Amino acid sequence: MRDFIRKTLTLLSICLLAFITLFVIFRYAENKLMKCKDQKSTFIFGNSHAMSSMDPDILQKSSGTPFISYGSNGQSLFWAVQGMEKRIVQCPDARILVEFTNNSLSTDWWTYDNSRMLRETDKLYLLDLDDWSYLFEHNPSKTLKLALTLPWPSAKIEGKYGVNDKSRLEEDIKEKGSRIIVQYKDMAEEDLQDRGYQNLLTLVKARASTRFIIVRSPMHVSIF
Amino acid sequence: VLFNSFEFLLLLPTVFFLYWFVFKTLRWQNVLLLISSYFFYGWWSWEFLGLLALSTLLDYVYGFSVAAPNRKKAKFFLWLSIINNLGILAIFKYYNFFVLEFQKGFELLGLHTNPVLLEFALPIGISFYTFHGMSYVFDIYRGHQKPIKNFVDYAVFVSFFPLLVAGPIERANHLLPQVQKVRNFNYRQAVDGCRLILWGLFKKVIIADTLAITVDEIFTDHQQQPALSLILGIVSFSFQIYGDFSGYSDIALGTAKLFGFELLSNFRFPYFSRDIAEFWRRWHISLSSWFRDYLYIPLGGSKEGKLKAVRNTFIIFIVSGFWHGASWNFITWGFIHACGFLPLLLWNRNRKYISEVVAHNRKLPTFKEFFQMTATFAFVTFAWIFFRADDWGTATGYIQRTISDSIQHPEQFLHAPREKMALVWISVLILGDWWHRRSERSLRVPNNPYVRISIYVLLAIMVISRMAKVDESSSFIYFQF
Repeated sequence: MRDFIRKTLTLLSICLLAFITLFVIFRYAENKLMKCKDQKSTFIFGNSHAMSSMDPDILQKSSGTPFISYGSNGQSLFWAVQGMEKRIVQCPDARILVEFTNNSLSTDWWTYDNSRMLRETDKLYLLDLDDWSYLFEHNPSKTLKLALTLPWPSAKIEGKYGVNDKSRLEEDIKEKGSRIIVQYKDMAEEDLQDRGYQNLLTLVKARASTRFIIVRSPMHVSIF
Repeated sequence: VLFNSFEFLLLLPTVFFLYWFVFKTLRWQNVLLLISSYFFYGWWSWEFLGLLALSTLLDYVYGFSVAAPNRKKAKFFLWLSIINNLGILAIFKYYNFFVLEFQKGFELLGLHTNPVLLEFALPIGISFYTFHGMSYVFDIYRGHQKPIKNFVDYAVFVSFFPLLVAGPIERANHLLPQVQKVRNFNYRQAVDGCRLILWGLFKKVIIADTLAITVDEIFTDHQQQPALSLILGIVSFSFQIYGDFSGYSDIALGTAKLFGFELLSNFRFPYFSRDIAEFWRRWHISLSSWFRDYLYIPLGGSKEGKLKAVRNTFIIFIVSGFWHGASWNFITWGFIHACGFLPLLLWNRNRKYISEVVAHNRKLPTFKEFFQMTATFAFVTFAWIFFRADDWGTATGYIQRTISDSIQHPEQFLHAPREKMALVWISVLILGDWWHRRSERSLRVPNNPYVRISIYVLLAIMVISRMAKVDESSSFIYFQF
């Protein structure tokens, strides 16, 4: 029995070591893959508002510089900031267009909503210890799952430009806050830390050469 | 608790520790196993714990009744037990099916009815634990087993958590002696168990769950898919269900080994079978042998002439299909297999391949064996269409679309398919099985310790990383039966 437990623990330690080694190698490979193609690029970050109301093609034609949209449905500001970090590492002189609304703050709890949290694995490499402890504090089991994922190195950050063509509903034009309380009672009533905003502020201050443009975009195009 | 969840990976070592270090006597170990089994089951749905307990208690009591020296009285209780067990299944699994079919029948006669349907989820594992109980009562009635007095021992036999929800369907005379015997930790057995758990998780989490994405996409939208994708869709399902169910069985066998138990094998490389008869000796073995022993043989088996043998064969295949679910799809699936078995039975070739796996002493199969395996696989795969489709219409639509699109666009078969990743995982599973085919009950690994450990580490990292990435662990296909 002692032999079995000793060997099992040894194997688990080797697995952990191999996991950490792969994590480091993948991060190194990703830095290579993320090389900036054009330092004059503008990257759009935000949630579905950015995704559906800022068309990178139109912006590119009018400005003559490349625009790439990383706006993603239901993406909290916390993860948008991780995405920005990922781009800025390689493109320090780029412009970052951040979609920021009252919604951006009120929806930051999406960070640790089960499905949304786990889909953001491609931005894991940018989390620092402080971020991990923040996530762990709010959802320990999902944070552990997040820590155990090993995303394949990729230059891709989830995001796209898309037009919302769903029909307009009466409740859609109300402030999102009221809908959140209806849909997610248990979470919305918590007094949450406004970490997305703090992260963005820290990032803006730390990256002097990067130009940040913070815009308040309207609700989905089909609504306004 | 699903085997492919982090909860299981945390709870298993806890039970293992308590079992070997805290509850050291046989009596307390069995109590622990019983509590753990009910806890694991109740984690999914505590509402049905009562049903499990009731089913266990009834068969425990019937066990004494059918052992009575008065054979008339014993037979009466045997039938009462059968009615009880099948009654539970009829209510929870088949009630809605029969009611709706009767409603359709009445409507054909111009009578409109408004039946009451039961609206609750099918209790997980109900077909498995009722079959455990039935085999116990049957064996006692036949004199192959004595009724046991200790209720805890019997309850562990019925609800032992590795096999509770999807088998293997154990026999009283195989598992009960192990429950009643003092178990000592065996290093070799525990290592084999861990290897089986790892390989089972790989088959489920990496292969079956990846193939499931392709299969679901193709089946959902089958009317728009090209024939090549439809063919690959059903081939992928053949390997998905195999990876899923044999993966579950491997984890069950491996987990049982950690506690000193040896369960019955459920799979022996079924896709290397050379005919349908061999396939059924290698696929879901515990179920097919259950039907053979408790239905086919009591009906007369093949000893009472060809006509009765044919009748009995059709009965067990159709009942086996119906056991999987209350739908015409499963009945059709069983019927197709019976049709495939029929020529072998008529020409007395159904027991041709009964022991050794194909190419047992060679590295590769002969051309003839390869052809036989491919033909058997194609037949089995065709039948899976009815098993996978949501209803009969979908299954026939799937077949029609495959044929019509193949005729209209034959050039598609000259191009590479879109589902390349599915083919990669299918190849991994085939090669893995071919490598293991001589050692059916453990993961065969190279002797070189560095290679061996590298394989373990690679499999473990892939499995854990994949399990962590998905929000909810996907259930095993056979849980619904």
